[in-house]
Amino acid sequence: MSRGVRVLSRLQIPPETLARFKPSREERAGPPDVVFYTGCNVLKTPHIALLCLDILDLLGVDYEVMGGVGQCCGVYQYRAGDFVNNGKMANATIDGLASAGASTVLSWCPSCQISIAEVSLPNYELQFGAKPFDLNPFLTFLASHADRLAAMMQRRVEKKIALHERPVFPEVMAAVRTLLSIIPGAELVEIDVPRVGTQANSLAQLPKYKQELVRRELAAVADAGVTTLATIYHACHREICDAGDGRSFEVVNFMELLGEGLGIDSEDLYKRLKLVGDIDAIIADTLPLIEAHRLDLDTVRDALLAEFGAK
Amino acid sequence: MDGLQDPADFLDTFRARGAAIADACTRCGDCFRACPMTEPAGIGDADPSETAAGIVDLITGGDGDDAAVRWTEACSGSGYCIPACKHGINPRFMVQLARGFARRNAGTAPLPNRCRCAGAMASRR
Repeated sequence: MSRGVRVLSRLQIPPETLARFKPSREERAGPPDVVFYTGCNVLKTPHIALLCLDILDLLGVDYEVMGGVGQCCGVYQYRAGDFVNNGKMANATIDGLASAGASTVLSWCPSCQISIAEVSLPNYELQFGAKPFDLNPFLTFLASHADRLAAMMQRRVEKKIALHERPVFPEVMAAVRTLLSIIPGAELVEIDVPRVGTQANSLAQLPKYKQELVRRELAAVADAGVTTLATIYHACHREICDAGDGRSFEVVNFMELLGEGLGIDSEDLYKRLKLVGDIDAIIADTLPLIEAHRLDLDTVRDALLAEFGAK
Repeated sequence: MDGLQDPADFLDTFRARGAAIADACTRCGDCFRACPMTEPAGIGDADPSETAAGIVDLITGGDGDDAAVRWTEACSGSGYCIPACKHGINPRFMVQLARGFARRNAGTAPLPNRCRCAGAMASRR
């Protein structure tokens, strides 16, 4: 997993952009307003995380970025029942996040939100008597600034949009609706299909059921005549970002729509790589970044095969 | 505060939270009924109350039963169970904690010092 994140992120953005995901080295006069906790895997789709940072910058929020594979939430050990190593990983990450001194940490990843807010922080509080911060979903934080963001809108986004929803945190879906409502021109179209799971990968244990859900949703979205299907979470985006190819609608991440309204340009390079498909062609396409990051070609090839398979 | 000092306490804390859930849970099965994964997982006909009891058994050191173990494997974290619970428990945490205990039971590192002790702490999100 860590190799995939490391390679995929580096095939899409140059070193100086990647540096935005590292904690600042400057001396601070005081703690930041918030910590933006990326988790691990969102960096496979760095345009999503970069849009989050760009919008925090627009709002003038003072933040530190933490996360990456070295600051895992511990979900893998938790799922395996390896509770001792789960505790080591989770408590180290909690201590790391707490070191910034902010009372609020914002999570992008819903798996991290569950793993830390519902599992590890309560444990930490019971072990040590207090929890050092609250962990809240990033999108609910953004929605709490919807009025300010509405005043910053620069472009109309004339799209009919269906949402690739997940029920894991109803407040996040409510936040997405709030934020969508402030984008000039954006029209939400409700799609009546079952909503299940944390992210796409949470249904991996029932692959046929998962495929059927996706098939039903894509058919319903096409029937609804929308221009756009917007994913919310990154794992879902990785799975269906190419589903618009050959269909009557595009698939984008919700943050791209918000960014577009705010005048922030972004490009979904993960989708571009996925659509290229051929491993040699991807390597040729990304050679300057491979060299800039001094990546080993065999490592790159292995990571691409693991991510996209052979075509 | 250094959370690295006492990693073994993490397991003890799970045991205590499991015991507290066992105290609070009435085994009504409303969490099971609210779950969208039971039918796809092939346990739609399982008894909700008995399956909830199997989950509680898992988080308090027991082996549960086949339906309970299957439910833990199928849980996708949707969270429909959370508002369904009238007893202040977060069933998503309960079921996913049970998954970890079930995997410990099935694995090569059996749970040491199985604990069925009662506790005062609960997950009440």
